[in-house]
Amino acid sequence: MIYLCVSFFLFFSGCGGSSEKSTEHTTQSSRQSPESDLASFVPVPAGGGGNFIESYSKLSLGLRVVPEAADGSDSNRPDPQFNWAAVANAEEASWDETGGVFHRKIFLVDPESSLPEHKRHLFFVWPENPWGSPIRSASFTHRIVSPLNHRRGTLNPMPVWHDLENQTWFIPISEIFRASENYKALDASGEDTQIIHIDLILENGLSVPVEIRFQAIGPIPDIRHELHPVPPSPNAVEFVKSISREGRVVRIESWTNPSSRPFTLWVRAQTGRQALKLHTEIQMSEYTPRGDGPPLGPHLRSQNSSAELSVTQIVAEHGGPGGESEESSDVGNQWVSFTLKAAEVLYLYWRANPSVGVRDCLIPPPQIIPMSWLEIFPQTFSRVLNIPIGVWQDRPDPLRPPAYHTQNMTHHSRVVGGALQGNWEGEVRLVHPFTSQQEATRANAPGSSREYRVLWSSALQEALVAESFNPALPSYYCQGIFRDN
Amino acid sequence: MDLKGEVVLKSQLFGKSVLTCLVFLGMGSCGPARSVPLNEEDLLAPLIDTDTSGLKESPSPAQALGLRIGVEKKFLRTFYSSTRDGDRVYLAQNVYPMRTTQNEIYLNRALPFSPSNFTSKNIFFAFTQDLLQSTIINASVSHALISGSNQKIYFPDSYIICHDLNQNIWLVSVTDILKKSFYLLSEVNTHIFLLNLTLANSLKIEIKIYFRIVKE
Repeated sequence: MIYLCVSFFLFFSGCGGSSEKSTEHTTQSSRQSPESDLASFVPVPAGGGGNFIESYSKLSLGLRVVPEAADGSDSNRPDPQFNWAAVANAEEASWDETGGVFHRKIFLVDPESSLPEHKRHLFFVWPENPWGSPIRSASFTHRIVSPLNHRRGTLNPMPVWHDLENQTWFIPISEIFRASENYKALDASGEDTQIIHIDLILENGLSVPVEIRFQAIGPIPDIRHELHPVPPSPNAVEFVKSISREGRVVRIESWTNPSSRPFTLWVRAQTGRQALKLHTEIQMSEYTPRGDGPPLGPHLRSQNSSAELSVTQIVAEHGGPGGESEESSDVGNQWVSFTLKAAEVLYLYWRANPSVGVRDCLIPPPQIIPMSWLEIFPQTFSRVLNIPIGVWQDRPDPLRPPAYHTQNMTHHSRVVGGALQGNWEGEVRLVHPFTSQQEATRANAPGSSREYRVLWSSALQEALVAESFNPALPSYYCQGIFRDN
Repeated sequence: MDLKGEVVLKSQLFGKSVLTCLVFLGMGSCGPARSVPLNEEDLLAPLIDTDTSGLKESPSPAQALGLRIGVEKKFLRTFYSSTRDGDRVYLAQNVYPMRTTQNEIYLNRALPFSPSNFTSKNIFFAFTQDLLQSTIINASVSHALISGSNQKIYFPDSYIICHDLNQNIWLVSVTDILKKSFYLLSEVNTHIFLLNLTLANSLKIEIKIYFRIVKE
């Protein structure tokens, strides 16, 4: 197989790549294709001074978008086995006298993509002799037009590859963006229009310009992910109380988009194998009355009240903490989306809230109970004038009988601790902003291709435990949460 | 509302000659009459393009269609109204940058589109009534798009197109049709309007208009 990379000289044709560029291409080609004949990499000067002509039918140029070979044997050139007619049928393009417009979007190679067709390099390919006079040299320039008609890109001509063996000329589409200075493949947005202006110089000296317009979609960039610690509660009591009042953030993470394109995050939370439960330990303080002495106590007795929680709410903050806030309040078992804007850091706060149907419980108010007792003192009897007189020993006034004692004792209950135990599952998927919800949230069947990239998927996300909790505690009479205590 | 009275009122208000678009009553979503000032300011002046490469001696149906872009300007109302009887359509006096093939037209520039109901203007396609030495007697349009994922989505509705007899043009309200697929108004989508034209000589012609939008 023989490739020929053509270089051009500005003074010669008014366009053309540098000789360095040509060498780079040549070197790369020879490295990738050891069997290449280096002698065939001869710079071919552009046909300077050629007559400019536009009357050639650009449709008959036969330009196609062709992938590399499916077996991955050579990513530097188009599949030599491709079927011209089949490729043409797969394209949606309009051709006129000036060139062509591809209506189908061209996905730039993305090695991390789960779609096989997005992992393959693509090429603009056309035969070397479409009009009866072979193409002698070719170069192209690249410009970008935004939806608002802002134009970018330089008009530096870049070389086109000539595959002598297969008698075709081709442009690696990824090469177009590699050579571009301020607009790389990661910047390629489907909203922009890419314009390739190809200058073909024929053997008969004529110069034929061809303009190609297309929409390119760059690969999904590496999105940086960081997990941030959830701020602890000052104590277990506050932990339980705050959950009861406003739920609990169980996960904080940030996603950083390094590219100039927006993306969409689809997120979902699900209940894990063990439901997420808030256990509240209620401690009761009580006294035991005695008839012959002061009440015993306080006796401390703990019971447990449980309530199920679900991760149902996600708050997104654009640009980091304190930034523009966006909230989805029903993420439990259904997908919701957030926009990951260009070059931004997006924080996601996953919040667990009491599930639907959870009871509200109340801590009973303190209960004041009067407790009475009669102290028992040893009594001895003495006879005075033969009259028996009882004397209570150990009393200041031994002749005065002891009275009943009464004391108000307070029984009270309070929350002393608790824990959030169990697990939940979550998933974050990253997709292009134009990907439909149906595609983005499709079930991840093994071996199936999909349009999304999974950024995070947890089998089980353990929840927080405020303090060690004894699950063997007896049950409190009310199972639920304590919002108002 | 007395449509003619409304038109006369506008004529007096703006001191311009006005023409009235013929209404095909009871024919689908064809809108009511629109008053069309002639030689008004060219709102699309910044969009003028000198690309005339599509012109040649024997024009294809797509070229002969003479597609122009119109802008409907609100005058008496702030908000969008379904009656739209206070609107006027300005036609760009210049050719919008486009490519034409035998039966396809591709607009080189995205059409400005306001997805909000508070839009200040609506976009129209306007084309000639005389085509290929005959006259268009019936015209309808359907909508499809190529999504960013290269899915081709066809919308089942077909819309009757308004015929402005005074200007000898047909008018397609791009805004009205796109609003029906509001959720797909991504700038990455390529929209396709498929014009079905019936000529007086019984010839039927299909012309595809490819375009994209930019949200204002």
